[in-house]
Amino acid sequence: MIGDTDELLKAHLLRADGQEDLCLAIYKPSSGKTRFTALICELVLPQPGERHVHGVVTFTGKYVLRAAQLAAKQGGGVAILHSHPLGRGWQMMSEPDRDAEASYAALVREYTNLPLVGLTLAGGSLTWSARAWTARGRGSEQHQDAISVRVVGKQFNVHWNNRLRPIPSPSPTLSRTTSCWGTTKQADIARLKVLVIGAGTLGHDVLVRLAATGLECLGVMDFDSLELENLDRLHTATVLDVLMFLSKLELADRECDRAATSSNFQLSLHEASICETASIQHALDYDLIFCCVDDHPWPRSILNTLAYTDLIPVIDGGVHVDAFEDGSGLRNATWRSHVLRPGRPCMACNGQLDLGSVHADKAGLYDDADYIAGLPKTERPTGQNVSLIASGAVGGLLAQFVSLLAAPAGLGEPGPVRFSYGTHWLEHRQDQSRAHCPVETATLRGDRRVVLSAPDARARSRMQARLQAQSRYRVRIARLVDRVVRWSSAWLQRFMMRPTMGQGQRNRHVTATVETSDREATPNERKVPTAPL
Amino acid sequence: MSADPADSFLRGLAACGCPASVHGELIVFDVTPILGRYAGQAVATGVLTKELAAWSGVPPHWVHFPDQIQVAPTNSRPSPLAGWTMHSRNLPGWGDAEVPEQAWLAHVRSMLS
Repeated sequence: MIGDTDELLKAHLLRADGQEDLCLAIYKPSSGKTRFTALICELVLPQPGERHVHGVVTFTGKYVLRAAQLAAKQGGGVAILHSHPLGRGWQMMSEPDRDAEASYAALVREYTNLPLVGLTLAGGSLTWSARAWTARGRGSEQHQDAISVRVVGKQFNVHWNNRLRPIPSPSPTLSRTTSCWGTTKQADIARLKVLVIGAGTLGHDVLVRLAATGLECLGVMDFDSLELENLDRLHTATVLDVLMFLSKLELADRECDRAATSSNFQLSLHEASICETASIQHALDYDLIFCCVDDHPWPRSILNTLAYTDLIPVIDGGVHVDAFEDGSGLRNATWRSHVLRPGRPCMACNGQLDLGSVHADKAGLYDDADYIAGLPKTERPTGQNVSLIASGAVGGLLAQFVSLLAAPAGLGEPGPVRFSYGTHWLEHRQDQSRAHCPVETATLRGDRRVVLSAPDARARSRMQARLQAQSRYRVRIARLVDRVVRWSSAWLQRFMMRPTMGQGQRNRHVTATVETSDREATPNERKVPTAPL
Repeated sequence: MSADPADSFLRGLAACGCPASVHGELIVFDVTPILGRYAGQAVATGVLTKELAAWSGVPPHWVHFPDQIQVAPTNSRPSPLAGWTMHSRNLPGWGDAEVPEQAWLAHVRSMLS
């Protein structure tokens, strides 16, 4: 839910007289590949006579029916939210709570074709817990606990179900990090599922830093190959990597493996373009996304949309280099970073995305030499980047992450910032959302989002070319030797660690290629949660 | 958004007084520029239906005119509609209009001015 909704709910549910209270809400479903999320979008507050507070809180069937009818009209589901004023942490349901929710689950499902979702607010710790109700057959209902409840505001607060996502065990490698913001915050950050889209100059460094910070569950999505011209910015890549036709994904895998400090580290590799429908489904399984794609409008427009339609904060940033046309020097360079979320201007509103050029990018025009030659000079893509400048942008992205998650001084993320190398000025941008922004008006649309997804011919062509290059005899030998060296190194580390640090074998889970599909999901497809919320 | 984006575009154009029709891959309608060599004349124009897949969030890129219509030269290619040409035009700042169809009509008229 959005931070404002969280505040409204707290104001309603945490009563001055200390009694429980209740309200209903409409949610929109957001269905990823494996995860179902209920986006709380509209409160349906009780009218007189619809709920009765008498130590505990009871409510009428008429109230549920009213909410169900409203939800059905909007294509949404119904959520029942109530409070445990003295509760702390993840709340289990009492017998009356269970009976109340179970008794209305079937009715709600009949009206909305979506499961009833229940949420409880623990007044003592101001944290949420949640579950969804599905039919067990023979008229009985069962509930499935959620893994987390996420509140997206200036701070990104995630309330974890410690039973389903246990607190990571402490590690001596993280003692400095933990001393910075405390064990509780470290445990919250470490359990986030973070996806980095683009494993190039910015994305690679972000990934390695996140792995080193103890995050357990990272994902990386890219389709590109390493090239010689990348070596001035991808500082962990070598000429040998280029000659072995390593993908940027494989480089990220290797370096994250070296950097990861969590004993339960998992890195999912998505060899695909975010522009494809299947990739978007995978992205919806993550809690937070870093947009580290280069200056291509099409993928940026998709991530820009998901930040609002599906309430997944997207941290975006980049570098702009303004070199003199005669090659005599640098006029200026800037880096920018910002968090995309409801309450902040989208990429189009803050000037970082030109929606008018998305179709041109999708059609491959920005890789078409004839087309580029026909553009005015001021509109031609430049693609300049420098490692020394990019490192500032990486710092900017990670600073947004720290502010959003750890919230020093409780202030949260700072909004869009831009640093100018010419004047050494760090500017807090005053960009505003435009009144009729088509992206932000689609906030909380969930599965009814409209995104321009399609098979990405450029990505598929690059992947195909790399596969062909990797199949050459010499390349296959080199890659095999490289794998043996890596395995030996990993074995040696485990051998040395065993008697000293007491850490078990790190679990590595690698998801290989995303199955890309030309089949586009229809708006009417919905997912009933068979997988964790 | 439950309506098909292309249908939404058609309805929006009709509300702006520009009824449109479908010709193969194109949605075709008339615009009447206020300035320029075509001022006061109804000029046929079109957009590819597939470029309306994410309307109104993402506007089309190519603007289609009959071959005889002359616009400032940039990247141009033959349109799927015989006897027509499609012209490349960026549309910076898209997303500011209360009625996006009106913004598109203004964009097309500006090309003819």
